[in-house]
Amino acid sequence: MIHHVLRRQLRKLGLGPQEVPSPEQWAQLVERISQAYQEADQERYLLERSLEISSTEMKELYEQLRLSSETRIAAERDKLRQAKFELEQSLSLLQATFDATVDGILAVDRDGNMVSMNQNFIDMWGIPSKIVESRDDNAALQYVLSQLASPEAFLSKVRDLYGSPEAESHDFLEFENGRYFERFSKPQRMGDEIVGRVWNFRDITRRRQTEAELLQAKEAAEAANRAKSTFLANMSHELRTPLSAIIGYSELLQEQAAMTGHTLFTPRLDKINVAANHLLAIINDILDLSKIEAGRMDLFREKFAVSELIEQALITTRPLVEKNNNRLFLYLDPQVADMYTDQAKLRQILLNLLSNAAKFTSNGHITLRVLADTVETEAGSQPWIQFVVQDTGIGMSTEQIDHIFQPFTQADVSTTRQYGGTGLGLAITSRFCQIMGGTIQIESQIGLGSKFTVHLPQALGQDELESMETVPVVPVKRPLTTTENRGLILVIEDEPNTRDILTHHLQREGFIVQTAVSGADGIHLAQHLQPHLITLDAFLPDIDGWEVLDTLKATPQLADIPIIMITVSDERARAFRHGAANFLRKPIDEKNLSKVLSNY
Amino acid sequence: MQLQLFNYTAEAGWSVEAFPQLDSPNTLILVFGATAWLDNPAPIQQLAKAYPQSIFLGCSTSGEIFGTTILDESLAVAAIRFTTTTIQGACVPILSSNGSFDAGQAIANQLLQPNLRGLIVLSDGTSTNVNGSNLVRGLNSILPDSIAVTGGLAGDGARFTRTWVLKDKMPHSGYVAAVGFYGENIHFGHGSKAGWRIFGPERRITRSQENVLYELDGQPALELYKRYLGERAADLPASALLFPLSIRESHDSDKQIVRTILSVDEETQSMTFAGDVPEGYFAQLMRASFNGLVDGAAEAAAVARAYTPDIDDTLSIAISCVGRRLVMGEYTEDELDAALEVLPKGTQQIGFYSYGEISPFATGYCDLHNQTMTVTTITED
Repeated sequence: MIHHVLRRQLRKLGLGPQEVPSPEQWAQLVERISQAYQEADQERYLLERSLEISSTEMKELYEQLRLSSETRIAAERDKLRQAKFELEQSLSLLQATFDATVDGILAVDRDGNMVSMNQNFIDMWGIPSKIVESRDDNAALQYVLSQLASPEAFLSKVRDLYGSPEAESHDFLEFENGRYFERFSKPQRMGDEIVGRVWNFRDITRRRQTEAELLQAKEAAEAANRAKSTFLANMSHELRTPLSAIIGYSELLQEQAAMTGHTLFTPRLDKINVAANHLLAIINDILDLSKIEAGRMDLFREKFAVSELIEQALITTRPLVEKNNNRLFLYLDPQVADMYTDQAKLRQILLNLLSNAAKFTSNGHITLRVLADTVETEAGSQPWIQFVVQDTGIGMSTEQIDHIFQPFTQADVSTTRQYGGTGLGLAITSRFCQIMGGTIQIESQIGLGSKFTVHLPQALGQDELESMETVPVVPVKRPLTTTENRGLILVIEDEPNTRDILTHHLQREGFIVQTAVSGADGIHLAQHLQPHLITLDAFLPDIDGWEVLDTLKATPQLADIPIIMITVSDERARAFRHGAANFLRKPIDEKNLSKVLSNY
Repeated sequence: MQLQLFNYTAEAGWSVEAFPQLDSPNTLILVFGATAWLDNPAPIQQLAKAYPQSIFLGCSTSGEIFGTTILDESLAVAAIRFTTTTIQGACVPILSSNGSFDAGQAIANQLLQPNLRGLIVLSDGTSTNVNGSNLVRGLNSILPDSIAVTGGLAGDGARFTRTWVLKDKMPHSGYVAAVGFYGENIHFGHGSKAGWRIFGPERRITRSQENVLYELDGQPALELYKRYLGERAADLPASALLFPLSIRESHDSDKQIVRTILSVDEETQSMTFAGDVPEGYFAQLMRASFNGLVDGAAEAAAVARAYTPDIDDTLSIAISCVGRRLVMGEYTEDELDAALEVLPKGTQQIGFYSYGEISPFATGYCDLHNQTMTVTTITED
């Protein structure tokens, strides 16, 4: 049996297996057989090589796979270890909290069986160790119930909560022996599932005792204060009667002395009269204050025109203002018309503030600004009115401001000697503001002056009128003319003629005019007066007008004041670029000025 | 159907005294021959003269199959005169990089008629623009899947330099040629099997463009081949045929396609295959097993036989990959024995060793295969 390839090789040479080849056939046959051997060698070479290389590759792949799976397993192991560590950490934190809290904590399962409790719980309820060790739920419950004033209420609450596992609770437990516990409870959840409930008990016996004592003390103090006020009110009344006689008779004696030529007595009688009046003022103030503190200060609501009230107040305080060589400015917001509140008290507030300002300011300015305002309340937007009294007087320190509204307090003891007064004015003012449903604020700095801001509802509310008597509405007599209330304008101008012309025109337009002759003065006055409008000359002797404009615009509290720039040449664009609201060219044309002013 | 096979060698001349008298418009002259006839087409011209009415279809080879024998530097000829079946030829040039697709469409458009039953297509195997996969896609884009399409890419020994197909009965490079068969009485059978064994790790195709492969698992593919070939790397690209590539779309895909190498480019470290090697596909090296290859050939013939009635005058066109021949060497004719043995007695076998085989996948559209034995059987009632 010869190999089929050899047989085919023989056949191709035209030979059968038994035939003897010719020399040429033999040579061809040898060549073909040799070829077959060579092919077989090459085939074996490739097979062996492939086997080796692919085995190596497979081994490498296996190694890669092994390494990657080992890395993965190691990473998983690290993650597990970290998770275990975090779990232990939070468990230890929980345990420490459980032990450290002053509250007693009891955890129960869904059926109400005790699962865990802290030592405080055992101590607070005084549960005997026998019961604790036995873990007998019923025995523990009975022990707890035996101490309570109303065990039934306790039980029903517990039953309610076990019926609604989602619920949270907060209540108080009263003990038969007078102790008092506060009780909280919350469901314990694992994921979405409720697995039990945690009860938290806090012993508040001491706290309740302290609270009760404090309440008693407060009531006693209030009663004492009321008694004091009643006494003062009565006393003041009693004191006023003889004092009226002293004042009346001293005035009578003054007249008679003048008529009969006993001029020697006049100064002495004057002194009696002044002293008696001073005493009367003090007594009146004390009466007011004690009425307020005794809760007996009544409010009378009436409708009145604010402008009229302001006019009266200014007339009243003018002598005082002029005495110290002060100038008084008014700005009344055109939107402010009527108020519906206690006119007498508002008048007293304004007189107090204005006379204080006049008293503590010399050679300076006092401004009263009345502004409309709104306040958002639950009932919607309510109209309020702001009264701002600002002076350039002696001012106050922070310390003085802190108790300026307390009775019998002036800036310091020496103040009383220097400036007089009862020291009750601001205390009364602030209390009036409060009972009228408003506020009073003060800003002040030593040497620079003070600013009082009174903020009141335009109409007195029902809350403030509990004991109010109805009074007839007083009709508005006369509104302020428009020429009187266009506000304060600051004219910064060094050239006297222009200044006079401007002042003249502006007053005619209804502005209160204040002038400054230099840039520095202008900036200073603007800060103090907070004017409604400023006219600014571009050429000033000290600081360039443009620089003044930049300074004013860069000062936050002044930045919103409109400034009319006045220049010789047309520098309209430059003025607007620097933030001026408007622009006028010299010489001032009256029509132009009116037109520009009509915008403000 | 009348059928006669004969051949020509330079030493022995024509194997027949006179050319068989089969010339007719319904006669197909199949010609498979050496590349060298491109320079010296005298015997082909003799054939053309002898069969003026007949339709010619032929190409160069990496070995002519004549019966169960492999010949080199010969012409293997089959003359088939059909009784009722009509035939029609077509030939188009491959012009651009997309030329194979366009050529496929053009061929299909020229030959598609209502009674078209089958189509044999032969393509240039080495021109720059040849892409067997694109050719098949072009054909499939026009032809219904009921039409059997078989064929292959022309070969050039183990040289991979130049090939030819017959155009107007003369050898030319850069063309695709085909013959369509029309009528109710013709039967086509086809089977295609490789019989190679995959081995070693499966690698991802990480860089490729159409039929040019650059990287496997991020490493130059050429380097991998050189490592496996060792001292045989000197014989590239032919020696790369010893390790065809099996590719599939994903790890769990059953449809494995074998790809054989056409050329290598040292500069870009790339390898050009006879069909697409899509990026993202998985590739595994294959190796020859003599028994496997021989069994594969027998299986391909058995599948083809199953399609056709057993008639004595059966023509079997065996198109087998040059890679198989390179591996099996002196054993190669075993697969021709095995294929013919399976087919009906009296079947005549002709064919060639190719640079790529075309046949349908079990059922449905045809595809380009490499490293297979593709058997097409033709009979007429």
